[in-house]
Amino acid sequence: MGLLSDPNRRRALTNLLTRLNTPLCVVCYLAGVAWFMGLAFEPFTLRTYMSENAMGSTMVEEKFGSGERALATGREFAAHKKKADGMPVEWLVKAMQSKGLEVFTQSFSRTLPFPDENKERYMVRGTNVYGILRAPRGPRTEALVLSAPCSPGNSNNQAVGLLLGLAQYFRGQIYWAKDIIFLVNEHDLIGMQAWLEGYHHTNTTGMSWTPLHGRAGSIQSALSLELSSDVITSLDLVLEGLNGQLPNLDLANLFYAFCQKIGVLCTIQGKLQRNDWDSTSGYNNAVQTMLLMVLKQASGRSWGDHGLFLRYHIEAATIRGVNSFRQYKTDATTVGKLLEGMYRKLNNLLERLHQSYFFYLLPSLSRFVSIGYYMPAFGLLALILLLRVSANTGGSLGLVGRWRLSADLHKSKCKAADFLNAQRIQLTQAFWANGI
Amino acid sequence: MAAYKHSAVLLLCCFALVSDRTLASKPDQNRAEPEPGPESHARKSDAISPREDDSNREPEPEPAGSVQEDPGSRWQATEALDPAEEAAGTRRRAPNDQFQEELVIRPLSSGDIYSSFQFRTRWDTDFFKPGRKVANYRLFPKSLGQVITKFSVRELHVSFTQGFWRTMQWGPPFLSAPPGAELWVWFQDTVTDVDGAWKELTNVLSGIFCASLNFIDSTNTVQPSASFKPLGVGNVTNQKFLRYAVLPREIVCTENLTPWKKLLPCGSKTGLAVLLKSEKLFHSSFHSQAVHIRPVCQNWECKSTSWELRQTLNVVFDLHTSGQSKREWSLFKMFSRTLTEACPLASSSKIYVDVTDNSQGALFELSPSTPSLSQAVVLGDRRTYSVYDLVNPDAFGAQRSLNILLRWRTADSADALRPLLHGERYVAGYGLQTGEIHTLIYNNHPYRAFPVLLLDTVPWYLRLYIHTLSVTSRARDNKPSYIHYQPSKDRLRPHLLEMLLQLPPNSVTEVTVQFERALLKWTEYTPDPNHGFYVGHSMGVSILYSILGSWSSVAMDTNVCVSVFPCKEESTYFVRVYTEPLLVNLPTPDFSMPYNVICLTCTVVAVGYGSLYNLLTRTFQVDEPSPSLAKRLANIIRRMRGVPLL
Repeated sequence: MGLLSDPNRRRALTNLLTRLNTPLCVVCYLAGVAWFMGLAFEPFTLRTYMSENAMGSTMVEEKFGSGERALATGREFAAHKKKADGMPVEWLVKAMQSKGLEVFTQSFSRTLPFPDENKERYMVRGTNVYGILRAPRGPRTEALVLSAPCSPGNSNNQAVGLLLGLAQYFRGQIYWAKDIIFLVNEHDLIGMQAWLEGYHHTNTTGMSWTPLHGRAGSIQSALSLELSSDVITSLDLVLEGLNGQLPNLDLANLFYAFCQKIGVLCTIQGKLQRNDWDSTSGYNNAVQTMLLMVLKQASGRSWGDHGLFLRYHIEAATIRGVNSFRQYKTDATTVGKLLEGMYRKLNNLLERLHQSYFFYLLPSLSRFVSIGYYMPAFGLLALILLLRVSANTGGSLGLVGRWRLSADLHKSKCKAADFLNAQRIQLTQAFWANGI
Repeated sequence: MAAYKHSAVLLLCCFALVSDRTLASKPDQNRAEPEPGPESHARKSDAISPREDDSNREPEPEPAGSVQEDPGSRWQATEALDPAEEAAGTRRRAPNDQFQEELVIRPLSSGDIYSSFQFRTRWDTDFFKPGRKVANYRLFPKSLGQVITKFSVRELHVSFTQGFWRTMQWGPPFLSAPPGAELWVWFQDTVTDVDGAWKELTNVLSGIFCASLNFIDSTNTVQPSASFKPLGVGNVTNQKFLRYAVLPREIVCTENLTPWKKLLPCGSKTGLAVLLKSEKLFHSSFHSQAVHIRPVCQNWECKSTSWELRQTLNVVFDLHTSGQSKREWSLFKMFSRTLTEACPLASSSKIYVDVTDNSQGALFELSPSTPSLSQAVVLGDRRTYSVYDLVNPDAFGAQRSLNILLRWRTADSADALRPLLHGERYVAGYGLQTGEIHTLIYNNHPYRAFPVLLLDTVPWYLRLYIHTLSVTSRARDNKPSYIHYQPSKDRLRPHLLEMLLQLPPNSVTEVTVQFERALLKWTEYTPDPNHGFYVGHSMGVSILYSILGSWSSVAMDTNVCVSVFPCKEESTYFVRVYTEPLLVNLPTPDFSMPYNVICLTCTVVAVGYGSLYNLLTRTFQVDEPSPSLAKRLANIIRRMRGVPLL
């Protein structure tokens, strides 16, 4: 502890900091940026792994097989949506009831501060429809959510169809330990927010909604499904939520594990994982993926319907089907199997997802950078501020200055020594008195 | 204070009502049973369960007679069998214990099917006669008899339930039970240390039923002031001798079923109990098993009591998960067994199938069909049952095996009858600091208001802000006429809140109270703290008016009433409504953190304490620059001379 008690060395350090302030700042800056960029370099990152034992392996026999029927249901839904010009509430209620769910609706309205993009109106009204699959012999204390937005136009019909198909299939299974809520929300985020506020009986946005009549306890996890074509080429995972919140990393791991198992191409930030990490383009890809994630988090907005769940401590993600010009196509049955596997694993959860990281960056789905690795880069950048402050206060921080005083005590040598010794004795006594 | 007194008076009135009605209409009430005469003995042998029993009822003529007088009647009352039994009863000396078994099957409108078993053992004995130890057990299980004797139990009710009864889909249950384990016990008024006896009793029961009842301690035991009355004889209602506890987390499985089955006189070898196979019973939507012990009157005068043990098991099978496309149910499909004989020890063994909605066979087809029908008023609703009497060998037909088959004629499910009362509960809010418990009680009756006694127990780690308690119905304040609140003590006892509410007709009453989540000590967390902590259900007790109430006196033929369940011509009946339990997350430390914490604290201690210690123990001295050679020499000379140094 020479720094605190040896005035000479202290002074030397201070002088050094003052003299080399600018170069030090530059070095810190460069080191910070280099560190950050290094994070995307594959050999420096860690491979993702499933922390939660309850979801340990993907040993599930997926049996969902009615993808075609689900798509037909989706088309039927589209027709009714067109007819109703919005959410076909009655049809949906009937469809869910026929699958053996307990069905409830919630209507909501919100006055917007600016006109709506599509219809240029200030008042948005809508209805959410949700059906609850009651777990056999479940006490209604835990639930999982699968949601699909009822989007305007021709998009997302397949998602609703698949949701209904899964509901029918899930209803026939005996192994559910948690209730499953199948939710079709209107007006994307507004509907989702209304439903979440209704479910938790809070009101943070001044929206008006009718109270919910069916609940299923505390929601453990949620997935939002967006699917706009009958076949897809890849599935994109969206994690960034409101205010840059992220779900537990295990949810991303689960998705990745099942994509690997079933053989579905999966992307994050719309970017496919590449194997050529040692080439420049491979590295660029990883950097772009990671920076996109940082930017999306910094924007603070929710990048999918799942983002609103995170405030309620519910781990959630959006799975978005992408149909590009790739050769390799995946049909709805396979996507259904993927979701079946994920829900069966989530159903096994004994505790909320908490084992893995909540703060992380993903340069690809199989690699992650935990907070412990990206904080040093941030720390180096933050150190510059500290250095600049010390330079601007005459080369001495507050603390440094005080100890320089003790260095100046050479002038009144004996007095100072006596004073310090007296202080020491007093301090010691004080500590003993306080029982330290 | 004035207001309080006022409410106390109201409360007393209400109690009078509740206790009166309870005694009169509770299924299990058995106040004075006509016994000694051969007539009433016969009647009893036919009765199944909690019998009705109003003390003010006149001994009635044998119903069989009245039915037989009218040959055109299609109701062949089951009492018609009675004369034979009666004769048998008079010939040999009737044993002082008897056993009856029954199974009630109710097809539910959703396509599901509800099976309710009830095994009833009665023993005319006195466990507490001074100087005489009861040692000779025949039908009554010895393990329970010893428990009654040792702990001076007057009444014991324990239920184990896996699942939540879906009132909105299935209608009201015969006997409601909350998810998890529920135990309530009345002790004899001779017990001095009730808490000690309760503690020991829970541990013993835990062993008997292979359940976690030993986790019942003072933190989850309450003494409700008004919600429970003894169901057996006796008027002592001093709440000092009542203990009530719920374990919402208890998971019920085969290890609880096996000891329960072992209490039956025939075990699971013969009789209805052969159907109780765990691989099927736990392949269902709802499973609830219970044991009720209480003293009942031995005879009309009620001079001496006998002990009644009722073991009930309720199970609902789900249509969708049964893996069938056809809508049909049979005993084999439900239980993977058929029936071949009744329990030889049983004095009565019957199966009832609810055919109320199936008057012309329009809804479903029942085979083999049975000519004997009986009617009963169950939970305020008149039901008709097809009866299969297993004591009669004809019931098994030529194949010597009975497999009741129920085939639905329609493919779509009908709308269920909305229950008059039902409750819901949830936690509102987000974050880990505060929250709000909402309890909703629905009264679906179109024009009648009901009083409901609401019982809430909340563990101490949710600190209720009782000043935020609000009761609203139809957006208006609904002032409870009676409130009993016992605040919690940290780590000692839970909150207890009892309220008497008047539910307006066709309304939802919402009870809300805010709470703060306590930070537990680190050893108090469960092994899976991130799962959350369970908060028990809340329970509503109410007296409902039967929908038959207005016209029953005109239309009911009391003589054909068979008491499947309390055969009451009353216009009111008694129900308990349970809400679901809650799962609440408490602020939980990251338990994988200790390593990090140790590292951090060690660093802080090393840096902080080390430097401080360094400062405190160091002596500061003036640092003399080393003197020159001349000076040193001069000093040597000066020291020798004895003059002060330079």
